[in-house]
Amino acid sequence: MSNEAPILEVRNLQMYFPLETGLWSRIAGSKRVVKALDGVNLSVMEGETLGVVGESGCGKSTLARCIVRMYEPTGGEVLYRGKNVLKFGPKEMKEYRRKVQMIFQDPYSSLDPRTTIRNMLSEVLHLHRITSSKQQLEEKMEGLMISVGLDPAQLGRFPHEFSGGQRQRLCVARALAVEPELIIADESVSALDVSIQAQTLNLFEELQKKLGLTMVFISHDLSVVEHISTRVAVMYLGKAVEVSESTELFEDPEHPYTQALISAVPVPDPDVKTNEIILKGDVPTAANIPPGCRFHPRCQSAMPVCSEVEPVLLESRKDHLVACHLIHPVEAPPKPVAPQQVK
Amino acid sequence: MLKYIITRLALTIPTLFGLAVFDFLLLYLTPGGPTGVIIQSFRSTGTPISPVVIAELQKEYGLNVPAPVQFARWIFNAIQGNLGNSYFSHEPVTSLILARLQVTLVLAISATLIALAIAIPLGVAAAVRRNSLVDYVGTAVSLVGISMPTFWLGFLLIDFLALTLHAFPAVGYASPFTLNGLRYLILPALTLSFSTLAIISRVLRASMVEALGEDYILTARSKGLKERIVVYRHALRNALLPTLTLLGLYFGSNLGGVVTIEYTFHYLGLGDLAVSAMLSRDYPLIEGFVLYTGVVFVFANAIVDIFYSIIDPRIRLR
Amino acid sequence: MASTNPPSAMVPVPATKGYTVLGRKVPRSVYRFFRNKLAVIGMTIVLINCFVAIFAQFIAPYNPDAIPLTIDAFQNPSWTHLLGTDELGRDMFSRIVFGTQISLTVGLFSVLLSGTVGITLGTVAGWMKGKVDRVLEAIFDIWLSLPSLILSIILVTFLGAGVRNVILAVAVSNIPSYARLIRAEVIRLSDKDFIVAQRLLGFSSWKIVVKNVLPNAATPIIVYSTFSFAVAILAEASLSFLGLGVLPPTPSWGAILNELQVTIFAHIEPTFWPGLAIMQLVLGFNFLGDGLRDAFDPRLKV
Repeated sequence: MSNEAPILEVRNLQMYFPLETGLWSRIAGSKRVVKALDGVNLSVMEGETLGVVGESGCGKSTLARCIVRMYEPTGGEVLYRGKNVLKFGPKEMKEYRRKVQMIFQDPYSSLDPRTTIRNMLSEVLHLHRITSSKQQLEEKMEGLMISVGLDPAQLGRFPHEFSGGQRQRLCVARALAVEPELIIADESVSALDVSIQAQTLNLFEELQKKLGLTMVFISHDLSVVEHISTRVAVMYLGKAVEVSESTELFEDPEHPYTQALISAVPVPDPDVKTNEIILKGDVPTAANIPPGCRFHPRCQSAMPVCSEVEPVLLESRKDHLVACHLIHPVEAPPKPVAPQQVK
Repeated sequence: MLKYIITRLALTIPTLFGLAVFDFLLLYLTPGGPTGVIIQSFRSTGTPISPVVIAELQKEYGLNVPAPVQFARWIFNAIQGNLGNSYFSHEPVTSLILARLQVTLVLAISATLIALAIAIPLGVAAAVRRNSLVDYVGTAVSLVGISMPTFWLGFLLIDFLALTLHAFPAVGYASPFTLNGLRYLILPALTLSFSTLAIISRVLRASMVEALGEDYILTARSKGLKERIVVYRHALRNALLPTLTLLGLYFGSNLGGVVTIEYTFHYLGLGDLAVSAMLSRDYPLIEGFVLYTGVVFVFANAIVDIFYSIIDPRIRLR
Repeated sequence: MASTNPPSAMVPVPATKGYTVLGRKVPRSVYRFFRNKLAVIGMTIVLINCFVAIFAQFIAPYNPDAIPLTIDAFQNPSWTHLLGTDELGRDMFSRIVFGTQISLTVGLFSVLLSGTVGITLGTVAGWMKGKVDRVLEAIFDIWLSLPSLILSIILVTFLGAGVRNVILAVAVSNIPSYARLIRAEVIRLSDKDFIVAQRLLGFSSWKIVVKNVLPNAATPIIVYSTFSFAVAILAEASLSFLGLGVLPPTPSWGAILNELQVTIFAHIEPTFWPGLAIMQLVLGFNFLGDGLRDAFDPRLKV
């Protein structure tokens, strides 16, 4: 691990949703929960793009929502520049809102259909007192439109007058209006056509370089994540199972789950023989997580110990973390990754 | 399933308790509060009223204790069926209401049956022959039906069926359990049925149109079944369920329409009793009416929900 | 910058196709509304009634309360008395013209009152969710434990007769259904990404509700309010007909029927006119509501 302090750190984050909310379960005292996040540890370095991949239902989106405090996590910590976000008061929270922004999946529902783009942007700029004069406001809004590749003359329009790709650009413009340090993109290109996806990804990359942004890029699509990320975290059933530098992860994955995911990516060359690893069974639900290693029922190389002892996310090489008994035999005393993870 | 039924019925308890509190507090809405009401009812008897008499009256009616205690006593009695006596007839409120409730239920059920008897053929015909004369007449009837004050419809029917054709007695009452009583029942029942009829026929038309477009209807037709059988046995059976559920809801709100209709026809049901109690400020009787109507309405709604959950299991997941 | 973005992103969006009503460019929904015959009829009926209510003094040929010295009760319609006279010889047409004022006043103020309170309660329940929502829902359940007409009747009995109390009674009985509607709408909207985005941008709940949630709930609110007018007018007529609402000699349509009820065996014909008056206005609001719903929010169609 590098020595700089991370901009964002997630420690042992837990998000349990009650499964039954009805009157009956309150009377009967049912305690069944869905463990959407079950002890996630991750850190995001300044200026990097961290890709988060996993199948649907693995808790990627819940992670995003916990980081921005749309959900109140049931356990663990979210540290922003070393301060626990979950303990922020209203004033610090407002400051945090400026620093961290999110881009959503569906560009059609993420813009208010009854507000013009001008009103949308000017309200945001006004709220955080980013511009002080009318002229400055107008210049800033035009600048935002240009920076996301849209015509400033269209500021007076309503969202329905734009296409899907253009709307996603508008969402980016809105997020950039508060001059954030960290942007969380939650499946932000998944709803777009493939050709538009590439354009939008390029826009993200370019903006990131130009503005020195840090990004967390969440997607189920490995090729998208490979394209944009500097580092990648693989999630499975509410936990990070492998975290590594992007090229290394895609070329030499260590966790059997990561290996299976990568082997399933189609290669656009008929001559290349792929050894696709077919996973057994379905993804267990987050309401019913298997004991021991949560991946063991589907794992090709599962050992007896895998169904008993839960593996810990440990460094296997420099800056490469993996949670698997194959890599870290369970007899060896586990070495903690970072001193702060030990209580 | 049983779990849902029990939960749904248990939910009526807090609602009914709230209704009882509301009912109890109504007297405090009147100018002068409960004491004022009693003084007024005594003034009508001509007894002179001094502060001493007032204090005595308060004691007699249990008004000298704090309101929560009064409420506890009142609800304790109410559960046992004791709602006090009418100011005027001095008979127990409960027996007055129960006698009239029977009559009103007969009226409401007859109205519902009449509505069904007309609405089902009308709705089916409108759906089968869309944009035909039948369909337009059906639409017009339902639009007018929901916009018409029911008591006015009563006057129109009195004018036409009673005063012009002499088919039925215009107003009045005889026990609906006798043959003669049925003649008095028909006009109010017909009037009351109209708004239900208007809505049910439209809903049935819509769900019939939907059902007739389903694949199983196509299959039935391609099997060579007679159109009558396709329409009545296959489509109607599926279209009827949502309609019947709605009927349950309207049966409940018909309890509101009953009041004006019984008043119009001088039909001696619960609604007529309630209006005369209100016009003469017979408060114990009014409170009894509120409680009984509320209980019937709340249970009618619960039964509709339960019925619905039987035909559509998704609703239980809520 | 523009180098990486293909020019397609810069191409201006084509303007929406032109829809015109009476030669003016209008949004598609307005165009849809005016293409709907029943909607236009409904709007016309409502506008005519408003006109009659405002200019009642100039339209009514007689003082609606004037009882002539010579007894000329129950006259048939004629050129002197367009709709005949009532049991006291008062001009029916004039009474009905003034009755428009009462129906529309009760309709307007009860809709305003129940709308304000209902929207507030519904928004609070839908936005706050959790405990607040559960408590409010329980209160709405109790509130709805009587059929709304019966609740109005009871309330007006205890509050006393008169236009003001009728407005209050009708409004109160309509609040919970208003609140339920708004609550559902607010819950639907608060899950939308654009509302979440506003929160993440740092806007306060108050601002989001006022600037983003309520404007997006405007269509169902307007449609429901139009139907509420119809319900309120019918309720006022029922209360006054029972002799509990607006009392005679005030020329409320329901009160006129209440007076005429005594003499229906001898003279039932005059009851036709006030009833027709109620029906046309209620029909007008129902047509208007249907038209608004179909034009602006087809999703609401039952």
